[in-house]
Formats: sequence, C-alpha cells, structure tokens
Amino acid sequence: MGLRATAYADARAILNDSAAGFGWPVKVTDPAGNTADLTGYAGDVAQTIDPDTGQAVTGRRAPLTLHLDDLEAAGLGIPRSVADESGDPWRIEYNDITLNHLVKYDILEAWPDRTLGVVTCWLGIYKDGV
Amino acid sequence: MAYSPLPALIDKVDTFELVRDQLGAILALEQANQQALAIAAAKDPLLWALDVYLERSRPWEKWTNADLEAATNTYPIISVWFDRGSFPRDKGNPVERQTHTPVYNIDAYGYGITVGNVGAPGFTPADKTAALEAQRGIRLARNILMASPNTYLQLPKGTIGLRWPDNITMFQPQIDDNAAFKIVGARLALEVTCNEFSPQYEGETLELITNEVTRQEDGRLLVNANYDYS
Repeated sequence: MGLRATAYADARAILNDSAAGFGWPVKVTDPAGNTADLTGYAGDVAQTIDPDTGQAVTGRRAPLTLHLDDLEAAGLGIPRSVADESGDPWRIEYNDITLNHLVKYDILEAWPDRTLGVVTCWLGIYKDGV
Repeated sequence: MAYSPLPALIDKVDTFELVRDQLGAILALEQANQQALAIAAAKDPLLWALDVYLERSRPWEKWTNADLEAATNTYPIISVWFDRGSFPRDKGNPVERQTHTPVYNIDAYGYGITVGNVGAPGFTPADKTAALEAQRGIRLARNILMASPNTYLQLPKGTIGLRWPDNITMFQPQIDDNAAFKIVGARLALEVTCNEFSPQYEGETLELITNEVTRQEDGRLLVNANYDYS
C-alpha cells in the first residue's frame, strides 16, 4: 500500500476512533431526509468575527470533519451549503459536550479534501421552526 | 510662563455630548412607545423592539453564550457612538462660539440563525435573517430620528440647527467568516449641526450705572446716566 493510500485509511481510522481518540458521534441528514449516524471530529469553539464595523464580535465556530468513505457507505453524498430556501439544508446533530444537550446545525460551507478522503464542514446553528 | 487661569470650574457638558445622550434616549424611549403601539394594533411588539446602547463596545455579548436555539430576544442591537466632529472656520468666532458638526454612528447589529420551516421543506438562512434584522434596526432608527417631532431632537430651542442622515452602509460579512451564528452590521451616519461654547472672561464689576435713553421729537437722543459717585 502506498503512502497516500495508507494516509487515506489512517484518516478514516482516526476520525472513527471514539474510544481512545477524538471521534464524536454525529447524525447527518441530507436535504432528501436520508439520515446516518456517523463518527467524526466535531467542535464548537468561541472565535472572533469581524462584521467590519471597526468592532470585532465574539462568535462561535463549529467545524465537523467526516470521512468520505463513511458518507458514501451511508448512501449520502458530500455535504454542502444549500442556497435554495425552498428545500431543506443538510443538517447535523451532535451533543454539545459542555452544555450536554443536542445541538442542531446546518452547513455553511464544506471543504472536501479528496487527497485524504475527508470533508471539513463549517456549521451554523439550526433551529426547527415552531 | 505667565498663565492666567480660568476663573471658574468647567462644570458643563458640550453640546455634542448632550446630543449623543439625546439620540440614545430618543431611540430607547421611542422603541418602547412603538412596542406599545404595536400591542394596541394587535401586532408582534418584538418587531419594533430595539436594544439601545450608548458608547458600548461589546453589547452583543448577550447573544454569544445564550442558549441560541431557545433565544427570543434577538431583536436588533443599536449602538450609538460619537465618531467625529468638524469646526468650519467661517462659522463662529475664535473667542466664544464655534459651529460644530459632529457625526454620530448609529450602528445596528442583526443576529441570525438558520430556522427550518414548519411542516414543510425549506428554511430561512442565518445570513439573510441577520442582514434583514440589521436593516430593520436601521430603518426604525432612521424613522425615529428623522420624524418631524424630532427635528430638533426635542432639545431646547437653539441647541441644534440641523440633523441629517449622511449615509447608510451595510457591512458585508467576511467571505471566510463561517461563524455558527451570523451577525451583520449596518451603520447610519447622522450629522448634526450645533454650537459649542467655551469659558469666557468674566470682568470685575467696577461700578453699576443706569442709562435712560430718550428720543426727542426732532430725532435727537438724550442719554441720562445715573451712577453713585459718593
């Protein structure tokens, strides 16, 4: 096995390691409503954002990294942001380790890396309509 | 250096400070009034709510650690702050009064998270909500401040000469700013014309005199001066 193939396989093993690694269970739902329980790297940290008014704003940044093989095995494509408001967006759910409650997100932007077979998604808070 | 000290304590606020405070007070009071009017009209009062701050640098902190999915107090934040002022040399005099043109930034911050439709596909994206909220905040602020009862900002007559919206600017979010919630800013730059006064020399009273001026039928003026010469 070549080095790239090894790295590709290692990436999947690392992302899926929730026992001894940083793997975190997430639920992925595509716009058609297909769902899958996957394991990946998920976070939600404070950051500074700049709305360009001359004042930086304290914000939050929530990244999620999944392996493309896991998405393909679940019958899902590569997550992406959805601009058309008449359809549903990709939705992600995982437990917030700090608040210990389920947080729902949509996808703002996705960065697939087809070298290592991973996709990093930048998430935004999603709320079901009431 | 021979220095002649000022005779009195500078115990006043300048007009630009008075106007700054008045802008914040008008916005805060009127948004409450608008909410009351909305309730009377059987409309959602939160659509007229503004969270008004004066010269604060981080009023949006209330949003950042809140339970964002449950938050309901996400109506626009308005931040009023003095930006700059200019003094045209041809208006005023070097001794007592100078015309001042201060510019105040009325910043509106809109907040948004993505919300799915109820019982049907579709959603309202966070970036759109945040932009529309910021523009709603600016709309309300401009209408309040430019309403005719506020032509002179409800200050004593002569305090200001003019208030005028210079421009409205939207602040585009950074392209790589993938924040978990969206905050979009909009700014109304409001220009005001007023006068600033400075401490004046106060002369000593040497003697009190009274003048009585009488105009004769032939147009001559007769001035009688009464003073104590004892």
